[in-house]
Amino acid sequence: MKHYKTIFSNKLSASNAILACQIISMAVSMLLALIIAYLYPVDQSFWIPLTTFCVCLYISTPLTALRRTIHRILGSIYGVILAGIICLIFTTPSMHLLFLVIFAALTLWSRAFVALYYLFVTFMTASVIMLLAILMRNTDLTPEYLIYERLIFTLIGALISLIVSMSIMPSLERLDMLKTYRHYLSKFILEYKQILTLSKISQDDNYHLLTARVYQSSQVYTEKLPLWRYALIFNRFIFRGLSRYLHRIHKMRIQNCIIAKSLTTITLSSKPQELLHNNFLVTKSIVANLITLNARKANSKLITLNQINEEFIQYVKNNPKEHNLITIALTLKELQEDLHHLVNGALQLYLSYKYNIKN
Amino acid sequence: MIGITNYIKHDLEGIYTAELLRGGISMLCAIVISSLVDLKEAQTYILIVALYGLRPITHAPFFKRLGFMILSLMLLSLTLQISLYLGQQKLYFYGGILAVIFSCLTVYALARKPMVSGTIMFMSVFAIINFGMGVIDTEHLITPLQLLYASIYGSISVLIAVILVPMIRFHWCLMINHCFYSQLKSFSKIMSHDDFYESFTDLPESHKNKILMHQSSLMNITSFVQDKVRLNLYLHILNGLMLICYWPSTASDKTHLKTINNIRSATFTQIYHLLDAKKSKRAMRIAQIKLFITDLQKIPYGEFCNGEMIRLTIDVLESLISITTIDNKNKAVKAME
Repeated sequence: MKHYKTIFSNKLSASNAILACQIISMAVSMLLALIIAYLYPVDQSFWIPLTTFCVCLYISTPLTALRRTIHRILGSIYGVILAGIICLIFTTPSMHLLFLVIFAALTLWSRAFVALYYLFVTFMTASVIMLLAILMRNTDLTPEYLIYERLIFTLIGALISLIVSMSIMPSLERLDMLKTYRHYLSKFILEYKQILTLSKISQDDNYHLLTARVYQSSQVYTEKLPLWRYALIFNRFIFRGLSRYLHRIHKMRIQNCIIAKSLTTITLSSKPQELLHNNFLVTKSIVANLITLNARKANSKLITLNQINEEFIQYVKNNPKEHNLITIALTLKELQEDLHHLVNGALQLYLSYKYNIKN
Repeated sequence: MIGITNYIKHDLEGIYTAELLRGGISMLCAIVISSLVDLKEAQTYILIVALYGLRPITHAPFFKRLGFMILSLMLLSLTLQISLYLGQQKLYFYGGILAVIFSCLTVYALARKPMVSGTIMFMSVFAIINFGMGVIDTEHLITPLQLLYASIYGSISVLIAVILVPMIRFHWCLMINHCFYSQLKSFSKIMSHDDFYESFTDLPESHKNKILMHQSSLMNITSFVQDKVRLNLYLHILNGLMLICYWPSTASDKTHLKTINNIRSATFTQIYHLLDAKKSKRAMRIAQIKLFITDLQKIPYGEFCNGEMIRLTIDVLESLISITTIDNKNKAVKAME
């Protein structure tokens, strides 16, 4: 209980620290943006702090800052081009009003595409430019001028928030990647254990639910993949390796479902039950060594796993009555291959090196 | 990429669509009101409040929601007044401090108080923009009274939209089914392609990503289906397809591997052809699938997976035929009515 309390309080303090960094990052960025806007000799310069504010909003790591900055700049450019064309073709206020409504509706519509943040920014920018064109119709500021300024201000505002967040926000990507890798390995072994400890998986629902749960939990890393892709700019090697690893672990969890499906129709006799149990114990040990980034120990356990699996296959081949175990035997062999790829993959070596683990 | 099907796939709960409808109504009301009243320079603020004053509706009872919305609109109007005053008086220091405080509060609210984060976020936006507008308004053309009237008219537009569209979400029903079939069709299409038949290890990363995205999306769509019979059939189809997709082949001999690939390829091709077929040709496609099932049953189990993959494939195809038959019957009943 005490152990869980410590973990909980550590997690809480970590999230507090990130929130504090986010608030400081926002305050410093906004102060800088406001000072630059004050010094910039143009009346519309309030667009600088506005862009800084929007980019800083959901930043949790420098990578998210980079991603949002890119989307922000791209979206602003698209929005400016779109609104610019409209303003040049249609010059009457009534047409500006009509397009304001269209762009406002499209802004709300684009909110559904969370990953396509630039789409939201595009329509938001276009609607604000239409608003400004209506608001400024009695001034000598032309829409073309406003559009030109908007581009420069977006660039300045986005760069301010990017530079500040890179110097203040802690770089959590590598830690996050390692945490995710460990999380899914643990999930795999826990599900494997769950399948074997169930006396008999008689209900179809059990493996149905299991498959659905695997996909539900994999959604977290699927959503993180596009974000990590930005790591390519800094370190191509680690991202590629990690995404391959995570896909393999996902596949291993589906292989668990195949074993579960097989067990729905079979009652195991004592020998295969014993072999399956031994397989689980050795697999557990390999996974534990993968989690602690100890490839050497994991490799030595792989030899034992291979012996157990070979014995299982021979047993199935030699006993025609037990032929219904062939799918399980093949799946175990496939899992062994997958574990071999994980243990000897480049990412495992890289992580061990990075975290100074001596094998 | 961003067509209607894709949009609904991203908004299966219908929350964003309900907001879109409210936003559209609110803007239309604001335009009608602005054409009826003359608030001179403050006229555009009716549109600004109508556009940005709308907050997502929470699960609270209707009148409580309405109360929250009114409170939110009052706070936004107050921010508009203060920031305009600070801008017109060129009080840069106070304007800046207000913007920084609101911005920091927004970050805090997003992390700890999501219920009020939208209101605080737009208070920050107004504190920045309207301060700038105040600075430009050197002749003080926008008066506090005009701004107050504009805020009231804008707020009325927002409240009309909330009253007319009070629901939090739409249940798409038919559109969810359409999304499921459309996603299943594109998944079957890529899986019936030769490039996806190498062993998992040899598949390029982009292909692995593609498979995972399609499968996750299908699972996600299924979680929004409320009809239990349909849900069960969808789950049967999906679970079977996921297992077929990752069926073990490493330790298999060449004949075994060939059988696995043949069954997998033919299954996905059959599914794709059925889902791609026009209404008139659907019965013919179903007949072809039934023939394929008969062929599968003829494969001797022998050393091949104890027939487990075959049984699973038959199960998937039979579920698909059942669901297609249910859909066809529903359509026929509707046509009769």
